Amino acid sequence: MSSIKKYIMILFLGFLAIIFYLFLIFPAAIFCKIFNVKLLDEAITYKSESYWLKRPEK
Amino acid sequence: MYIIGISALYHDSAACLIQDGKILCAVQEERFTRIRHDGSLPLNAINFCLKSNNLSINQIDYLVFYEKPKLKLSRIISTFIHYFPNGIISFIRTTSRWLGGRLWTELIIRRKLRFHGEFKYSEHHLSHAAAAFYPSPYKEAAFLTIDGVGEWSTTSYGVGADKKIKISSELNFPHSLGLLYSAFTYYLGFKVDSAEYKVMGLAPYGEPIYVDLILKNLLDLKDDGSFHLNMKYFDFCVGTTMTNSNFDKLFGAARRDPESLLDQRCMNIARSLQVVTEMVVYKMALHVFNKTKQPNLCLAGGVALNCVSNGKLLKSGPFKNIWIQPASGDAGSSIGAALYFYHEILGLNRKVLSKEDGMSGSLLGPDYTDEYVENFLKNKKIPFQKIQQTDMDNKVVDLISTGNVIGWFQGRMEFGPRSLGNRSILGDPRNEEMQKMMNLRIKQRESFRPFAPAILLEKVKEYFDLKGESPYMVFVANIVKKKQHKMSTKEMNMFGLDKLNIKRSSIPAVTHVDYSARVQTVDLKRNPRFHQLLKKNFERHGCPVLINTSFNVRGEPIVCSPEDAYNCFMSTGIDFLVIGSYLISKENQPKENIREVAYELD
Repeated sequence: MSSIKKYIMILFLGFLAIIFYLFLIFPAAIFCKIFNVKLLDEAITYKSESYWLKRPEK
Repeated sequence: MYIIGISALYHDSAACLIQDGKILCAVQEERFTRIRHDGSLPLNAINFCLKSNNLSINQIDYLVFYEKPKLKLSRIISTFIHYFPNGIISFIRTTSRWLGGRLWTELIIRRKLRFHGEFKYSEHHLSHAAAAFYPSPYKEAAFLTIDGVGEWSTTSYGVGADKKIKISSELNFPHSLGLLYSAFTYYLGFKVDSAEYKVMGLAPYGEPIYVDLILKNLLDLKDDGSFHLNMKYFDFCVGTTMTNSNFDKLFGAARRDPESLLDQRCMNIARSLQVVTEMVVYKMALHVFNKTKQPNLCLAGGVALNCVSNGKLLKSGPFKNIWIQPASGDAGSSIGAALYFYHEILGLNRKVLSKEDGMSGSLLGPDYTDEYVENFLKNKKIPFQKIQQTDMDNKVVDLISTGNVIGWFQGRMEFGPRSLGNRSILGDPRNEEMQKMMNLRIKQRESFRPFAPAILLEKVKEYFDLKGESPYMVFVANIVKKKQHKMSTKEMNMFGLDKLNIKRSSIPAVTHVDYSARVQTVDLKRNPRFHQLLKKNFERHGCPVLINTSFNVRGEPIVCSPEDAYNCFMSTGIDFLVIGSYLISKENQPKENIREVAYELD
């Protein structure tokens, strides 16, 4: 790969990364924090009998 | 039809080639790059698969990747969002790696291999399940896969019937038995995703005094084997470590410094973890049995390498038969991905080898002709002797019985983490000093580590309390009472590593402190050459057992080529090296060929 191509590639990836973090991930994270949306099931529920999750039929 | 299965970009990258559902070859990338647990794209492994079958990449019908990178990334992002703002640094670091490569797996593989055919994906646990079921000797069986984490799933079970497999239930991240084991591996000062087996080896020196503490605080375990981890004690979701200060407080001390002294507390923790692991696996297996009513079980995933737990499940579990994928970690998923696509997606027929299995003894890697070996030895001016097979076997068993250690290199290299008699270091199990000597002088590793016995299948009942066979060294069994040596009261009261000095059986070098051994049964069909050697040892010296440990030193992958074998031979205390028909004696080697190797901590 020529050095100009490499330079363009790095710029492009940098641009993608900025879009990814600033405009997608961080706003989503703040939104979930404010509205208390849980994306992982980390709760321990001593009352339930099982933690097995049925795999949905395809 | 040719399919290449690939597992890569995490750890233990590997590739395999199947033709019409038959596994032709499989190999881990680490064996070529000489970087242990190498997770890079397995280009060398793929090239080997192609070259050894005289194929070019565009004769391959499908490339199948063992997991779905985008689904995995979704788990990483969800985890970050869930714990936000914790873990920003590690998240940016991880996602940068993804944006810079992992997300474009298909593009990169296509470009590097110049592949224009079809590229497909399997799922991480489907690949494990397929690797466990399709090569198994069963037409129908239940399967259970347990590992760290794939995309979301950490554990799954279901049923395989002929060419179809179906996962019925699963446990999702972060609740993972593999990650729990890795967290303790980290806490005990060992390397994660690498040295879990050391914790297992350390366990018999300890007492299970922390079992209640673990069950009460670290996980909520249900009767059906399902569980949730208490994430208050773990850091692997957000940090760069596995455990946190709450964990340290719970066990009364900070993480052990790597390479510092292993005290009785560490051994007790290892033993307690092992007991909890066995408990969880047993409960899970019982649940799978109750749900599926299958007499046969196939196991895969990193936790299926816990041969102590496997041995107990085989001995007292609900299943009549258990078959375990010999490369049950991520490397074996390359086989799973290819077979899953062939049978489940394309719907093509499966041939069941009910007397053995579809793994060909796991001897699926490169081999080297005598001509190649002789050229190598001559080019390097290495003194050697060429000896016919019968004479060679006589000579080797005589050398072993007089206390020599042999590097044994024959035929195709093993696929998976175990040496099964083709890239092995062999010794006399009756020799009391052998365990200590081989650990320190040859393998350059901790003295507590046990060695495994390879035994003629037809003699296994005379030595071990093993149900069936164990050709892939995946079950631990006890030495039969007749061969055990009774301990005196003084010996019984010994603690920790002091137990190492007790002669525990007639084969002390392969008898762990709890009278257990990780057995490999050797049969004529899977490995005739190694079987012949063991038979000769029995005929000449009355012992059908040899110490069989992997041909490598600490921190290095198992040797692949004659060059690797010679380098390893010259950097350790191995006395003789046998490559094919060639015997090489350490005594005759030029002094300048001796290598000093600074081993990498593992």
